[in-house]
Amino acid sequence: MILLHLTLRSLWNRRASLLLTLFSIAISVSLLLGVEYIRKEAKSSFLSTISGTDLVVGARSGPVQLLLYSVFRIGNATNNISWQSYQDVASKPLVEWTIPISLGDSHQGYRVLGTNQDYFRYYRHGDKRLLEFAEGKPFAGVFDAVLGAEVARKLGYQLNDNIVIAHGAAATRFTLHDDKPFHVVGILKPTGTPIDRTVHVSLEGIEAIHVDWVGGTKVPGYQISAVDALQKNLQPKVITAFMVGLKNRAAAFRVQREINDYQREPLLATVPGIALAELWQAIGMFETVLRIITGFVVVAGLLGMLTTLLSTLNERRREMAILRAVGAHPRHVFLLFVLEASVIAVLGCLLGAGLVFIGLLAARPWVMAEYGFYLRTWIPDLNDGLLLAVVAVLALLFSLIPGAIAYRRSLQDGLTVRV
Amino acid sequence: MNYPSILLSLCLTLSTSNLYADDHTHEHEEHGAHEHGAATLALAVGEEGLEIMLESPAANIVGFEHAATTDADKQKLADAVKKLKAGAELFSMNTEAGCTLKSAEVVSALLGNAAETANEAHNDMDVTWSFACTQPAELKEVAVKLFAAFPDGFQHIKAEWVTDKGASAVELDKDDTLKLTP
Repeated sequence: MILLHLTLRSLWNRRASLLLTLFSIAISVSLLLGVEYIRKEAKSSFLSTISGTDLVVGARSGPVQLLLYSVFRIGNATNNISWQSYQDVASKPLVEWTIPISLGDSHQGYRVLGTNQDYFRYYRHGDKRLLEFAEGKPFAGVFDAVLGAEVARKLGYQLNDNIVIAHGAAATRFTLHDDKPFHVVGILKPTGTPIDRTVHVSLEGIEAIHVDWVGGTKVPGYQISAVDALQKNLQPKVITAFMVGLKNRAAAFRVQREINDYQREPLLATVPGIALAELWQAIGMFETVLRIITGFVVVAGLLGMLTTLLSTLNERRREMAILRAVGAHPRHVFLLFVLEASVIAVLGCLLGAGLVFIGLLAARPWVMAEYGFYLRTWIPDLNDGLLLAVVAVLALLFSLIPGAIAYRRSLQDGLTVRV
Repeated sequence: MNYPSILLSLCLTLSTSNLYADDHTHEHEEHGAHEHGAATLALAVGEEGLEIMLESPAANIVGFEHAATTDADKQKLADAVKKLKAGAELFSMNTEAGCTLKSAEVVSALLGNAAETANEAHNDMDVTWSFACTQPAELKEVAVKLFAAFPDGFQHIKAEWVTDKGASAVELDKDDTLKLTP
């Protein structure tokens, strides 16, 4: 006990340099914990984007690619699939519901998703939560649109506003569907998923804005007004992909195999969780690299502490000699150093954890406003505790070096040390 | 390992990964992926229990893929089927789930019970095991022992599973226990 007291007093005496050491350890620890947090959050955010959907079906490409473009709006479809194929799968006895998806157009950088009312009835995210409306209701008419939370907030839209959809990703004057504006009938609550950044319209709406287009451009002199377009057959011939809910999830592989063996068109069905796991295996390497880097940063922080302890060894020879003279055993001198390092390491860990906690709290409103992503409060789990323990043990091991040196010297040095 | 052999093994890795991409399809023809040493294992947990499906090139299990004509080949084939049908030896679940093997079905062109005939150079063997479980909700772990049972066959198995809670996948390269969590 008296040793701990001595340690603390001795540390306090050298507080300026030790405070810097403490900070360097705290920052490296917070980096270590922060990387772990981001890794876990990114994974759970990906996992929570889609839940309750048993299969995603699209043109044959790769499962990861299909999932990325259909659910996460990353990248583009290689091919579309025919309405007929969609109907064939939708009518299978094991299929409970389907949600068709048609992508390709955009509004001010936000993707436009053509679908039907089943989207609002069956699409689930997070812990099997349905989409909720902040205002308004699902689209009913051909030219109705439902906005994701971020689209409405960033572009300042309200119910009953009119929006013009651009053809493809471009937004030049010639590629606007400005003759057929859409009417905002609903705004969704934030979900923290790509849905927030999506404009939802009906499949018929997508079809209608393209009725007077040929080969991807407007035809001069040939225009069909929004009213006339409604008279046309707006049944889409192709869609981009569709989601499937099954009556019995255990049948997922059987239905998947049937769809993959579909003879009329090469289709690909994938189980979202499995495609996600594949994606995670693919990027797992980068995770490992990131962890190795943070590991080295922690070691660098601890080496900084070792440097501080070693560099003060000479200055403290007299201190040790006096301690010996008043009756301290050499092993007490040794323990003094180990205790010192432990105190610094433990304080560094606590400070680092505090930095992560406060940093996340402080960043939360900004991240929510900018990215529509809710940062959960950081609560250390067993894994984090283990990491901190490893840091503490490493610090202890490092401190054995100055401890041993001081131990040896304290046996040799008399009171007449010339420093 | 010297430099050229590293290059060689790199090329081999690249070329085998291309085999995966080889399942492109024309309008009416299917060419399923077929990579010796690799297999897909799909586990589905339902209300009645667990269904396990294995899709594998026959070579992984039997050692050859031509139609069995000699007595030795026929014996090997019969031995392999017998081994496969003893599903309780190949998989074990955590006991709380109370799972018992209900049926095992082996389908292969080599056995003459598949849709296609065995005149192609490569033939698959598809196995379906059904386990009945008294407490399927308690099913948390499935130990896969296929590598030990067929030591000369499997190199890596892609294991996928769906449960009520979610779905996931993992790549196995030795016998291991699958934890059925998303």
